[in-house]
Amino acid sequence: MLTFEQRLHNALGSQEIENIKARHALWHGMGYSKEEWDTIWYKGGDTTWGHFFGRMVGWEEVWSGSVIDSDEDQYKRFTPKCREDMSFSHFNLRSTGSCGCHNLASPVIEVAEDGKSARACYLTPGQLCQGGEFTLHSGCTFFYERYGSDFVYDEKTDRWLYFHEQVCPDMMGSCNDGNYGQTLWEAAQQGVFFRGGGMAPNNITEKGPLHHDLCPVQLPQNTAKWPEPYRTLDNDNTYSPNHNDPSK
Amino acid sequence: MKRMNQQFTNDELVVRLWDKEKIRDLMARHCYYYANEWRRKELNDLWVQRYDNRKTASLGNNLGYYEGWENICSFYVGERESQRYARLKEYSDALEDVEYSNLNLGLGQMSTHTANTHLVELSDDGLTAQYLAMDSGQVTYGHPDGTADEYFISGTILADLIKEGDDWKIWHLKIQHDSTCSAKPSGRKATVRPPRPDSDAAKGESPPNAAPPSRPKPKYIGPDPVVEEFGTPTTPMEAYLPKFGWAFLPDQMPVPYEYFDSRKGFGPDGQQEYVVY
Amino acid sequence: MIKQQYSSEQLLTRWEDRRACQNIAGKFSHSYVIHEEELIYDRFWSKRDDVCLGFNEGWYNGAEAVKGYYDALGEKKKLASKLIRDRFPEELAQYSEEECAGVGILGYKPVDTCVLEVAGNGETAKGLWICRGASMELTSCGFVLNTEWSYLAIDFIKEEDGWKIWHMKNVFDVLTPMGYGWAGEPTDFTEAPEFAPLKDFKMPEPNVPMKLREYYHPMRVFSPSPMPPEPYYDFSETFTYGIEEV
Repeated sequence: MLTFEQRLHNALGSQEIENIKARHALWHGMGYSKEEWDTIWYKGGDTTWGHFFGRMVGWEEVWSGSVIDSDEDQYKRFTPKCREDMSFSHFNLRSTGSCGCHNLASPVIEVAEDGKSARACYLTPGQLCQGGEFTLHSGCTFFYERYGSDFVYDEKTDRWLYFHEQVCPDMMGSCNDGNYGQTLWEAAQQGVFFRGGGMAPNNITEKGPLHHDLCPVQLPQNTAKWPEPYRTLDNDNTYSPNHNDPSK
Repeated sequence: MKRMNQQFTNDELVVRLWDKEKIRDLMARHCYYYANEWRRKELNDLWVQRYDNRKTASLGNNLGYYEGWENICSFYVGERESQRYARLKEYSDALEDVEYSNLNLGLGQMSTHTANTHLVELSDDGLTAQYLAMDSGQVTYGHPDGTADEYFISGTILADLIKEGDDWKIWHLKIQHDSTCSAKPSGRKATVRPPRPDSDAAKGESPPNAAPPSRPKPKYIGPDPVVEEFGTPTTPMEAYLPKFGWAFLPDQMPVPYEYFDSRKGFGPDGQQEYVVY
Repeated sequence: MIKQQYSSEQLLTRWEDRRACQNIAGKFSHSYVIHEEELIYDRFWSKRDDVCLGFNEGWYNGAEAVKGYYDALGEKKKLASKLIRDRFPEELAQYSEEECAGVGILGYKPVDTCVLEVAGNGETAKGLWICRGASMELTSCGFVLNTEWSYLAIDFIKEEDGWKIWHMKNVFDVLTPMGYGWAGEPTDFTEAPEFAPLKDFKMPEPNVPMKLREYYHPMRVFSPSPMPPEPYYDFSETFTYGIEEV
């Protein structure tokens, strides 16, 4: 039976997790990788970030794959934009014109009984929309993903910090170029199946695939199931098995 | 970020816990009221009631700000009603059995506004709060010929909230509209392309992984009906330029703060300038 | 309702109740993604007999009808999975029927924009959400991704083993194939004879048929969302999201 103070700590933690998730999604959507990973993440050896391609393990690997690789991408995309229109160069290149809406929906959040960790599962009905001179356009991209996240409480700083993230992309396609289901079906009839795409980072300790995009022959996946009430972060209650030690 | 919780008692922390939930509910209610066209009800129920707060209240959008209560009401309720009657006229002019009356306002129209990915921070003094959320919804305008213009919309909602008694109220609201994307067919067809035999995608997996489906490049198609409904703010300015995307959003994201400073708020005093040499 | 005063302990309990209800809505939503929709009744619904589930065409009123609806979702999934497994023997013959349950299809019902009120007496709660969903379904024309815009309104009741769904109303503005707008219709879908058996499958009809909401069309009268919940003390003081709504 938890005391009032313990319950209050857990309640505040649960609420703070919602804020952290929102910050993460907003910074990610605007291409602010350094801020996304520098400010709200636990910088330890068991910090992990997983996607369909596998899992980056340890703070340096996560930083390298999520910040350096990502920034390289962002600058490659936006520097030519500045040469076309110099006005872009007066703003942060990483966010100019970038609006990746990783909307967070369907939260399930549990804080451990011991108050030292928390777990959250979300769905995203996302949208990639392009800011532009004229806001009315045809051609935007939808995406549907699931997120499983673990957090740890840092007693020294009285802060909750991201510890693990598992991204599970399910669908990503055009809102306007025909029906996505029919697109996959037509390809499947030719024996062509899209299982998961995008660039994998240069260094990954645990190679995947950990999750596949939906296609006509994709079996059900429960890669990031919702958290249940739990006592402490362990291999039965984690989104990153064998990486549950914040002291590393 | 500051160590917030150490300076509050447990009783104060419980109040703050609930304050954040009330604010999330308040802003979600705004979305329903906004989509339901319950504008007068929204102003009465959700917005500031005290005279001094109403004097400094503001409603902002891409084109500027409506400052002060009278200007907000005049646009939000009065002008909005005119817009709705203008849309109804298309129906009543074309169809004999559609009466040009308040009973038919909103015929063929639909919208959904969402508040998700929300970020809420209370001031240390517990009297104000700042809120940011994404709004990814839709607006739909029907026509009497049985067609409709259907759009996905995207933007962010920012708000300063203030506590009046035990209730939280909207004080400054800013809608930053990013895009309106037609939901209609583009005429193009997406395809899934098979992988090249030598590509990484072709190796190892069974069945082998194809290249990702083709994705659209946005094609700009005209004046935005959503922006057209933003009216002519009483304080016009470049309050939000979607061209530069979320360039200012990093600075706008609420962070823990001690007390309200209008220069960091979401009213006109807090507006950042789009300085381009 | 007279404004209630709560102690800190009471406020904390009410917050925990609120979180519990939000978690149920989240788990309800996730159940579709992990292909466990047929388990929704057993996991999340109250076993009272006055439960009800409403859609645009009417109500599934009573425990048997509600359970029957979710059981039928499971049967539909089984049929679709069998047809897909038969269609792609090279890729799927190695897997059992159980392993293939839900292959190739996926329901996304993400819910956000929550307004939730816990009763003053802590016995019930009411919540309203917006659902912007997409469901990959198998049809007689092959795979089709449907767009969904709907409202999810839930009355919760607190029972011995936790909070449960008591009444649910999931009313749609839009449920159409993605890519054609929601007032238009696709014209280029081709029948796939291998999936023809799907045409014979019918979900059970609501046992209390009534029009709860019209799908959007350009002549639809303006249709506001279900009413967001307001603070209340006892359920008798507030409206229901269930079948007796006036």
